[in-house]
Amino acid sequence: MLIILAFDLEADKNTFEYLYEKYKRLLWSKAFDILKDHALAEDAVSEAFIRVYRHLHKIKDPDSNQTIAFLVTIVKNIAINLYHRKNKSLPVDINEHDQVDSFNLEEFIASKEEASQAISLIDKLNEDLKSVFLLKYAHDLSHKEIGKILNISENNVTVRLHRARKKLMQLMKEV
Amino acid sequence: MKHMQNDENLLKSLALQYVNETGARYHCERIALEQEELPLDRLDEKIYAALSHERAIVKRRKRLMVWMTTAASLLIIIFTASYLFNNVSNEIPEATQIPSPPMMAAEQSPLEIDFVSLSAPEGWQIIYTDHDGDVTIFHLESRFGGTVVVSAGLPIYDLTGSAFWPVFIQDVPAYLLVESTHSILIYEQDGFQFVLTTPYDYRDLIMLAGYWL
Repeated sequence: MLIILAFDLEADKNTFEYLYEKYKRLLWSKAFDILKDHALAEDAVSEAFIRVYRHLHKIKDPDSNQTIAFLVTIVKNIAINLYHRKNKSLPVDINEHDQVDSFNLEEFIASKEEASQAISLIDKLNEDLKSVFLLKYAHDLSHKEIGKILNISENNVTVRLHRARKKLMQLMKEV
Repeated sequence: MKHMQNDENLLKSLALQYVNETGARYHCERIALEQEELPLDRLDEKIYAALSHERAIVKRRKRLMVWMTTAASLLIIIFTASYLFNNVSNEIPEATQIPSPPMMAAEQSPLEIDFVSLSAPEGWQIIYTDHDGDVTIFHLESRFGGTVVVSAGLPIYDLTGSAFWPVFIQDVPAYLLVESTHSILIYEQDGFQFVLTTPYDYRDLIMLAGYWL
C-alpha cells in the first residue's frame, strides 16, 4: 500500500509497512488523547512515522515492548508540541494525561511491585524529561539522535537529561 | 566515579523496567483498539505525502552532495595543476622561455653536423673546436651572448667545471654543456631536431626535449 519508492531496501519497506499497519491505530489513539482533534492526531502520527522512517535502523524487533514504547514516546512528544502550538496559552498537563490513561495500570501490574515502582517514579517526570530519559536509557540513543527525533538541540537534550536524572535520583531517595 | 556508574546502571534498569511494562500495556491497548472504528481515513494519504516529501528531500540532498563532491574534486584538480604548473615554470630559467621556441626553430637555419665539421647557424658562431680522442666538441656562442658546447662521439665529461648531461634524441646522441648561458639553440640534423638549452637540472632538459620534439 505505502509508497515503495521511498525505500531503497525491500527489508526496510517491509519493516516500515509492518510497523505502520500494526501501530497506526494505537499511535493515533495516543495522539488523540492529547490533542482531542482527529486531523491533528493524524498529523502527529504522520510526523511520528516520518521520524521512524529516518531512524528505522534503530528498530531491531518490531514486535517488542521496546519498539512499541519507542513509537509511543515519539508520537506523544509530537502531539504535545502540536498541542502547545495550537494552545499557546494553555499548557497541557502531561502528567495528568498519563495518569488518567484509560488503561488500568494498577490492575495490570498489581503483582509486580518493583515494576510498579519504576513506572510510578518515571511517570512523575513531565513528558519532555521522560521522553529524553527513556530514549537515552531504554533505547540507547545518542544525544544527537534524540535531538533529531524530538526536534530539539543536543544542548537541550543534555539539559533535559540532567534534569530528569536529578529529579529521579531525588524521587528514589524519597522512596 | 564508581558511584556515578552505579547511578547510571540504576537509571538504565529503571528505564528498561518502565519500557517493558508500558510496552506490554501498549500492546494490550493496541489489541483492544483493533476492534474499534477509528477515523483514520486520511492517515494513509498523509503518510504517503509525507514520505514522498521526505524522499524528495533525501534525493535533493544526495544530488547536492554529488554536485559538491564533483565541484570539490574539480577545484582540487585545478589547484593541483595550477600549483604544479607554477612550480615547473619557476624551475625553468627565464631565458628558456623566450623567445618562442617554434619561432626559433623557424628562424634558425639547419646546422650542418656530420660529426666532423660544424657550421654555425645564423645568430651563432663557432668559437673553437676541441678534439679529444674520438670526441669532437664544438663551442658555440649565441647571439644572446651565451655559449653552448656540442659534442659528438663519446660521452661528454667535465671540461670547464660545468655539468654535462648526455641527451639521446631518437637514437642520435648529442651532448649539452650547461654554462652560465641564457640561450636556446635548436637545429636539425638528418631530419632530427635537436634542442640545446641551459637547463638547471636534468628534469628540465628532458621536459624541454620532450616538449619540443
